[in-house]
Amino acid sequence: MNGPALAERVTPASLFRQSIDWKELAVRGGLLLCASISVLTTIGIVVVLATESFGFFRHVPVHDFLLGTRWAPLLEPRSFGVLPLVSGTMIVVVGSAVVAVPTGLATAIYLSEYASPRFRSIVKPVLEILAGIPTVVYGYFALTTITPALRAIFPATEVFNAASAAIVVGVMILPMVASLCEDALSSVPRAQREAGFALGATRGEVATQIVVPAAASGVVASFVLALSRAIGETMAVTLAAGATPRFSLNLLESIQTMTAYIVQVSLGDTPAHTVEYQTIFAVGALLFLITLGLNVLAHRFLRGIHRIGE
Amino acid sequence: MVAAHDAPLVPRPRPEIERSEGRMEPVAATPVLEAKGVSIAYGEKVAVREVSLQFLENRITAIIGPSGCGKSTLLRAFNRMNELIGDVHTTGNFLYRGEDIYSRDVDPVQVRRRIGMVFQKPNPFPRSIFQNVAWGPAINGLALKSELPARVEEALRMAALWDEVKDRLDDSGFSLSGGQQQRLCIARTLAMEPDVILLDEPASALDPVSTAAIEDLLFELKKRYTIVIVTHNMQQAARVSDFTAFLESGKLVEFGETDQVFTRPRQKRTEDYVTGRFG
Repeated sequence: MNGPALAERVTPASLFRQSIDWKELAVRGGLLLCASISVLTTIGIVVVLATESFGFFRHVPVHDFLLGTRWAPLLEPRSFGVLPLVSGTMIVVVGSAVVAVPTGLATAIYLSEYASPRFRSIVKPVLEILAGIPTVVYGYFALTTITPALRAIFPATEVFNAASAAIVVGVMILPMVASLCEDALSSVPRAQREAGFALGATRGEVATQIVVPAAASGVVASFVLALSRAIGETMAVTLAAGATPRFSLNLLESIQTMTAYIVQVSLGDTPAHTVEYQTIFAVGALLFLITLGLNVLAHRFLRGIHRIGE
Repeated sequence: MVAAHDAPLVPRPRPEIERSEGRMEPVAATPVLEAKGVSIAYGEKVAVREVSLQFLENRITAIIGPSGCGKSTLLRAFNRMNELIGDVHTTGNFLYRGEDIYSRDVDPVQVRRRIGMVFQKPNPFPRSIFQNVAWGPAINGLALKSELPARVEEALRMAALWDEVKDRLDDSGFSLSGGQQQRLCIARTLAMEPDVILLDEPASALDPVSTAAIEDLLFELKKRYTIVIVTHNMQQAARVSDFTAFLESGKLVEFGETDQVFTRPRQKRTEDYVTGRFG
């Protein structure tokens, strides 16, 4: 206590003077750099898609592209109607949704409302393993298992067919739907379930009339996210559904999805900067817009998720 | 109410009870619910030990005790809510009008239809005010669809909420204030026309005005229902209840008429607790 008096030691100037902290600046700069990588990549992709698509649309009118029903960019007479690819993608998306949405929701309800903690602790990791299987394996599974099964039931089934692709994509996104739905259902406060039970509700009534509606936004968001994955799925559908662009709803025939077409051209020997080559950017841009729309929709639903409680 | 705050140990007079020809005596009124030597354990942890008590018809019984004494666990055992949590082991007998509600052939859903419960925090459903009240009777087939509006109105009137919500029945239950939400939860329970209402610290999340409204409501409700209320608020127990059970560390220390428990406790621990020496 023999030092200088407090007022002398701590003057405002010495206390508040700013000095440049280089280490802090470096950390901040490094973090910003990492954060910008994904943003810059996204911008880059959008720019490439936009400029190449623009080149494409100088040769092909937009309405011919969007409304045409024949897709034959590589064969004479050429035709650039994208609807067969869109219909191919939609068959796979709708078909996989029919498989994955009810099954996934039912799985989630069982895990969240009925299963014992022990059972849940076994099944949840299995779901996650299922979600980690490479999609090419699912494609082989479709070719070697689902298609033969379909042909046994419907002999008219082609070797490559839309039904097989839709089913296998449904199986593929099922774990994602189940897992995300389960998260949404288990985030419903226990007080909601107790209120239901205390009013003489059965487990089924509590699950379907209290928990699922309370988690509706999360459940719907999980559907939308899973569907945008189904739209973007490439490998499994290429293997299972083949490469025949067809504007038809026959599930037993071969079709081609938008993604499968992009693969076909990217791997082929189509010269760059030709109209044929630019088609993949136009198709890619359309695909990007569709999934973007779905993701925006999903975020809308997710935003409304925390409505109970406060 | 104010007097009770000034003199917390003296319950306010309850003339309607005094008039009812000696039914204050535990033996004279019918026990609606009864616990006989019950113990409840979560896994290895015993929460309630060898408790026996009974709840009489059209009476309010308060269960008091310090935090963690097992009072909520005991209450939730009376409509079989504990088993929904998981690893809960219950022994002893719980009798509802003489019938063991834990017997093998008893459906817990049926038990909960007769023995309703109101929780500590208001927990309305994310639905309209009307649907909050109508849901219970609807799923249990207690009323035709055409009868629901009348039933909802009656329940909301009994819960003293009707005048505040009659013009906005389609608004969300969450649009109400905390005190109104809790009365909505009570209305929801009343719409089931239960026999017994269990309340688990129903006013602990509410402000004093809302608390007073809930307490006044309990006096009305006990004309039709048997009521059990868990509370850590001793003044509240003294104000509203006819009988009081004092629980400590899962054991029943004392059980008797509220006047006696608060003014002439038989046990030293009870006296220490009700005079605020611990807890």
